[in-house]
Amino acid sequence: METKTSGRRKRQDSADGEEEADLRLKRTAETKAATVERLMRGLGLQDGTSLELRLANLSYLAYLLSKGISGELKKHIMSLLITCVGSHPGQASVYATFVGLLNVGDFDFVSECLSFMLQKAYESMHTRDWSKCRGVVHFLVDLYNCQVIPSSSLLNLLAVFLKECEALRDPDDVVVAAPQTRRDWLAYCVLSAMPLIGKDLEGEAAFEKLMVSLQIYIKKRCAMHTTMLSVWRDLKQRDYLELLWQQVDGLRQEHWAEPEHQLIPRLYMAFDETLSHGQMHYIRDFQLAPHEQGCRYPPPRVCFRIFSYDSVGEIHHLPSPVRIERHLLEAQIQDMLHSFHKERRICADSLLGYAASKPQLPVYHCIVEVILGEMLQLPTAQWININYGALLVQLCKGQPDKVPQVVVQAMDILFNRLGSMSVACFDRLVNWVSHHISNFGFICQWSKWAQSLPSPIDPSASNLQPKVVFLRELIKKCLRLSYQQRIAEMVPDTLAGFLPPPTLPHFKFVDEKLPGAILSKSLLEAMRSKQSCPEMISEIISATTGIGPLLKINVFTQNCLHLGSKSFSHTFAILSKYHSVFKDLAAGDPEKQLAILNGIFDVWVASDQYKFVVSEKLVKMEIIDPNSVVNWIFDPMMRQELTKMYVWELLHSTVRHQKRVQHAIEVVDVDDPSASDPIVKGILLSIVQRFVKTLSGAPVADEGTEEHYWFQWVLGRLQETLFIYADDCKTFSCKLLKICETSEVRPEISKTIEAFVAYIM
Amino acid sequence: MSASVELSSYRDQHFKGSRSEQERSLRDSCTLYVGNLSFYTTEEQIHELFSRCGDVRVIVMGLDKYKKTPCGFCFVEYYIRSEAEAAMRFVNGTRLDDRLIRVDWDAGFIEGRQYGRGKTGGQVRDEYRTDYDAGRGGYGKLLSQKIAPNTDNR
Repeated sequence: METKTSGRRKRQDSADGEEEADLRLKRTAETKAATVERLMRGLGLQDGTSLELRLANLSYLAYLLSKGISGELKKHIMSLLITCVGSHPGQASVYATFVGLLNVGDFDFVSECLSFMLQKAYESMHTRDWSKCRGVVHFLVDLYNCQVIPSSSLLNLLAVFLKECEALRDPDDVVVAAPQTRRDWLAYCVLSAMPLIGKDLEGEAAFEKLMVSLQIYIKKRCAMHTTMLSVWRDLKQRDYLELLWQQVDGLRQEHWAEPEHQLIPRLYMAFDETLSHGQMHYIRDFQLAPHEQGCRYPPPRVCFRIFSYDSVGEIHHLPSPVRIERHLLEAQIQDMLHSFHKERRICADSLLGYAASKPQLPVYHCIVEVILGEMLQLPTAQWININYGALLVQLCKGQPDKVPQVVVQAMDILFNRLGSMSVACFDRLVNWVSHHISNFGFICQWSKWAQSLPSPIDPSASNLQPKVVFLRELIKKCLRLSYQQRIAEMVPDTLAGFLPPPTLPHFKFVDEKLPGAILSKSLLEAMRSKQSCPEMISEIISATTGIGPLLKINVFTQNCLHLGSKSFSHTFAILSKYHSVFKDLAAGDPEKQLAILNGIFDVWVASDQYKFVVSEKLVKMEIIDPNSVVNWIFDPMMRQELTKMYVWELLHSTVRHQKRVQHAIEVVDVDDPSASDPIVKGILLSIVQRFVKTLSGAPVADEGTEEHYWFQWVLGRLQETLFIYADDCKTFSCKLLKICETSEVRPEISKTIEAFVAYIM
Repeated sequence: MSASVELSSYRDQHFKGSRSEQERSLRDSCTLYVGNLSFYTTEEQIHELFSRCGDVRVIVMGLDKYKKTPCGFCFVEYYIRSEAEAAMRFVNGTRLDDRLIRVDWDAGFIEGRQYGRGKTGGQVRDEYRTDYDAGRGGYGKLLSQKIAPNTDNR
């Protein structure tokens, strides 16, 4: 308010010239702020900007700000600082350099920045923004490199992080209330920062003490999760933190020799002399945000490798998995991925720019490996499947003579390892491959893959070998994205047996001798007539005698689907039209709802997509109860279908529907959230029970037999289901364990459930 | 930063309401316009691709006003906005039936909009095209009318 009144007064009694000068000043200030913002944001981008240009931008920024910074601009710079460091934690070093340069001219402002960032470190922990917090920690670590804070301050700060890890003396020690994931995260923050400062601080007592603490912690912590989180059954994937320790320790044994290929960006080196003119700041009393009940930390991870050390013959200069260089490469790629994953063009440009800046290294291989690793990650991927796929397509387009070969190579390795791949990420692989090749004319290693199958190829549905199931499901998915003739053209003759018959509806009541055919005929006539209406149809159905209610429902369902078979829209239109008839016939009666589902199965026996989409629609229309879908899926009649993807698509869609329903009730019923609690829990528990029952009923079979494969597939589906609803399962893990207690449960099943419960607890 | 979910410059000229109302409904919409489809692409294929971004509520196929056959566009509606955004991010500019398809925000389907607005019944763009596009009925309508009866007098 004050400035406004003074402005008005000025306008009244001073010359126009003064006003103009004011305006100009204001405008200059605005331009300056905008320039600073543009440059600061630009520092975090890795779009292939050359090192020289980044250095020049840094110098220019420092020069721009060397002539005094207004209070307004200071606030702006600080807020930009935390935004940039928070969203590009991998670029924290550049921003530390920037602050180091500011420190040369403006000690007080940097002091302010430092307190601000320390505050943000605390806040981001409190708000559980782990990636931002790690960014701030690495920023602070690099402030030491930029001669803004002394080593004592930095080491004290890092010691605060490790204090809780040191408190853990024994894995059985339950005194520490916080979960291991919290300590893992704290240890990760410090451990991942060590390569940045090791060379400088080697030998300092406080630094060596940190290393010892880390070593002890890594040894004592529990890494039981690795088996369950491994994508490969035959290949134990290492725990991420454990491997990072080995990588860092290896670096230490080489006396912190600088990793090759400038994998640690040390932009501040160019300003060493300038930076030495700044004064040091001391950090006092840094505290971590304490653990709060229910707080979720980054989950444990295992390392995923496609291009392992032994396939290095083809991939030159790929750093060995135990070298710090591999970690640094992967960490940079991961940071870019996490910063830009929603913008596939920006993300691809950054990744390709990064690859171009390291021509000596097989960065494209690492990019593809990291993306596929995140996509197939267990228990679940972080983003939707097509996010990874769209990004890989973009990368292929951006660098068509480099990336596609690597993707093909990766696909091939994954295909050859299918035998030991976890079922829990099988669908993700099929979905990705089908989407990817649909963007490139459905070209893929069809013939090579066909050759790797035992000859002669047995395409029958009872062949449940992983590669065979993969090809069968992949071809079906490709057909869903394309059409019969197109895929038939692409697939070699050896795989022709996998091409399903054309997806035509099968309407059996054309055979007039079948029971129900008479009803079907009169219904068809009525439904086709102009005067058709639900009441009329209901009347015909109830007036029919001589056949049971279940057959009546089956006939009616088949008639609807037959008439609507032209497209989903046609089907949906008919289902909506006769919604009330369905309701009257089957509401609240599980047996009758099964008759509807069987009707779908009869008509669309040749189309997994129709079976899934129509059933899903009936659930959404609340004609079929979610529990009926569960009963249907686990009905003995469906046994063979459980090895197909569409069944699980339907199951998960049904649970999602149930979640939406629960959510809607919760929104209405805010006062009593417990009232609606059992819906999702109920369906999940019944799913697990049905799984256990179905699996336990299976005969114990020798490896390699159909029975054996069937068991493996369905057991894997149980694990996948647990993984997908891990959060929901937390509330009833005791009940899950109870299910295992029954004597007839096979040990493989209880092992799967118990390992899962141990993981989520 | 979120370039791919921003509104494009295209505005439906038949929208009933002011420009700002139109923009507001585009910003809240869960409906997408999908263009550059082949005439042969089916609703089932579109469903498969767009389901990978979320639960599809409805697909309305664009039809030729007179022939009532698909004419190369459709509307896809999701239940929630974030899933429509995912389609803008990950499907726009990628291939379906070997064609790069266009995905854009739409203010919401209204009966009548499923029909092509060109004079010949299809989409306007298919009247003026001068290229040959097998997936969209060959040459543009105007051009093929010129080609069909040979009016070349030279």
